[in-house]
Amino acid sequence: MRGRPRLRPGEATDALRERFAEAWPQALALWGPALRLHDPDLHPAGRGEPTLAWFSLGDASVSVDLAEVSRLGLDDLAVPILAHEIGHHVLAPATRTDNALVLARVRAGLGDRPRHGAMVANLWCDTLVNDRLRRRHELPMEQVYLRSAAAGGRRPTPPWWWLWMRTFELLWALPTATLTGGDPAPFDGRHGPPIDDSTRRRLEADAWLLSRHTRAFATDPVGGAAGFAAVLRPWLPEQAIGGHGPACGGDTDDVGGEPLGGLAGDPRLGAPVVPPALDPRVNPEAGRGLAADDEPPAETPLPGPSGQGYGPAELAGLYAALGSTRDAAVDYYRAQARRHQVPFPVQPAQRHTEPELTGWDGWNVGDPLTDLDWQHTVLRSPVVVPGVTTLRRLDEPAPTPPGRDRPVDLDLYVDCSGSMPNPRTTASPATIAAAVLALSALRVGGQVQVTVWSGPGQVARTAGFVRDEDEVLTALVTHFGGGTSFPLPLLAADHPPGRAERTSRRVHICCLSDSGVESMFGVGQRDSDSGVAHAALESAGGGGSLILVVPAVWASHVQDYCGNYVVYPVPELTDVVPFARAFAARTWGVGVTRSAKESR
Amino acid sequence: MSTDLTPGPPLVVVVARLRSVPDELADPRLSLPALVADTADRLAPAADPWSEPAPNWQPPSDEVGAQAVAIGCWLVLDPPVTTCLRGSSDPVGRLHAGLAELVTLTADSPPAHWIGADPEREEEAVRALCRGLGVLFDGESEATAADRWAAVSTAARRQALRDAARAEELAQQLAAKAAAEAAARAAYV
Repeated sequence: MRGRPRLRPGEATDALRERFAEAWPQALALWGPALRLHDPDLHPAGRGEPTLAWFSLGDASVSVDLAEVSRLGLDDLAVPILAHEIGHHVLAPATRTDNALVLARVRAGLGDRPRHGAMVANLWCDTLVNDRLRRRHELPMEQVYLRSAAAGGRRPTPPWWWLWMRTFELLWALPTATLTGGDPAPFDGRHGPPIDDSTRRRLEADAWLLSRHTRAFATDPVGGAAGFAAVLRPWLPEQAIGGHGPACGGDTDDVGGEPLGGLAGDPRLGAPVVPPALDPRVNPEAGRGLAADDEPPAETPLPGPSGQGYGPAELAGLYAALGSTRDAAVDYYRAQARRHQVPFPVQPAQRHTEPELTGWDGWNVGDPLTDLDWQHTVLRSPVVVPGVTTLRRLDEPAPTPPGRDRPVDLDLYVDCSGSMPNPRTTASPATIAAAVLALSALRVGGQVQVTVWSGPGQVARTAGFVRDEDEVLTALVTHFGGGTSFPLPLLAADHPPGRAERTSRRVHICCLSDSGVESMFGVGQRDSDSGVAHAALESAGGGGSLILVVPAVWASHVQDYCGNYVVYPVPELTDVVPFARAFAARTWGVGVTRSAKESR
Repeated sequence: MSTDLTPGPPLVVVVARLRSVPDELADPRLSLPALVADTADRLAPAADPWSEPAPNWQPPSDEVGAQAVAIGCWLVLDPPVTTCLRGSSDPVGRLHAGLAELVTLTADSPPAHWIGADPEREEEAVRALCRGLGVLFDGESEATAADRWAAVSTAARRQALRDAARAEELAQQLAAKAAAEAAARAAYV
């Protein structure tokens, strides 16, 4: 598009619209001959905010604000602008899941400044798209920034913008100050001490790192997002800021829905952040080791680089940044549990088959009168002579048809008193273990009832035994944080004597607690309720488990008074897998879980 | 960098030549002194072809250095480069200076690691050689060349990058130490 005459400000918008419409096929072709997107939405007056162009991953659309294009003097840059927006659909972020992952990784790299996450994620995706177009197709991407700067007048350049522009200068072999326009301004863009030589050298080194980083992660937006943000972080102000140059935005109104459901289980969410300065792919000086005099005083063994996992609170923060209304805790525990699901026990179904007639035989006096087949006796002879004309049916059981095994239902009691971690803010190993059981039961067709309990009167539960995974998990992450008093009356009401025989369904009782489990066996309860747990276990007929957040020593103490309940101590998150396997092996003799086999 | 700069071919021409280095140059039986002498002879044909070429030039003793010299000769033997050097002052001295720059550059990173894989490194190598040769790429001023050299030169940035890596490691260790101390304090509350 270079060489096209530029439209004068105020010139008919139709001409600009026509110019962009003509450029669309050319811009599409730059990303591959097979790429198909519907025509761009060309808005003559924009959407009321200073955004040059934007993309929507939900409906795979591209939009351009023609008024902003005209205002910034970019009317002859239709191909670069359109190709840039298309690049967001093809390269970065490309999908809604990757969009969320890029944002998550950027937030990880920003550390204490996650409020800049959306803007930095956008900068990172812009960097990759711009560099691809400039390097492979020699599109004049720098002109967008040069013209915009000229149209906006000379403004102080904050360090983070200067760093980004300098990165482009290095990537595209542009002379120094082509895009930066000189030295960066103080940190807030207007006030504060001027940038000194030392800071300037750091900025220059960081720009070089970012240029190398961009090339190293040219096709991996998710992999490079955290490193990009880590370099940018110290140059960003603590308070939220607006854009500085021409803005290109992603539409965040469509981030809800199922694609985010699989996000919680993505291992890239919790990957450690490797700063580009320490990444040998980026910095050839990385890994040379600290000099002896650099070592900080180490009085205690220092842990390695960030090993912090990605918990429900972090996921909730990400969902909020994405504008999603999904329940992050539910998604988190669902993802964790699916990694460790165990095959839930099934109960061989009773075979009830109709007897099948194989013939008749004589009925003699003394045979049970109920065996006499009157119909065939009369058909044989209207004169009935007992023992002579009387007949009886000869029946045999029919061959057993293939039947379905009935799964054991799960009655889950979750202690959410003050001594238990809040599963919404902390990755609770006990909640993961409970979710493993619940999802395992649901997977094989069982029903699950969840009762969360704390002090007297602090009880919430599902609407009986249900098969709704979301309802079960939502109940599972409920937290009261009060006292500890197991709801024995509910347990007694759900499992009256003889219930299993009457309903032909067995139920596995599982209690998730800590030392407060003693209230399940009568401590602090009415004397008359002390035997409820044992009676309920017998009535339920499917066994019982106590998953306890206590040390193993404590667990053996509980085993002394809990009768036939099996105690599982789960003190650490890393104990969840052993727990799941032990659960299957001890209770139903399954040594290796199906999910474990499938995961290999 | 030579002060007497000679206009040369565009950067892309020399980089393209670099990407087409023949495998034969990696043959250990290759005689470097002979190759350098032949190259010098192309730049300044000696009156006596049997005279000792480049008496003050010593071939590098290591394999990577030898590769760098062979590659440097391959680049100089490209007609656009040879032609521009022929008319310059002291072309043989420039050749030796250019080869020395290339040997220094590749000391930390063998050419086989980045030729065809790292465009920036390729540009850095070509610029290093041409700085020694005193050749200015077509379309570049002296100031532009200096600016671009500062942008791609690993050596020029080595200290800054080393400082960045060291600062990052220190920051991580201090943060980890602070976290460990905070955890210890919390455990005794």
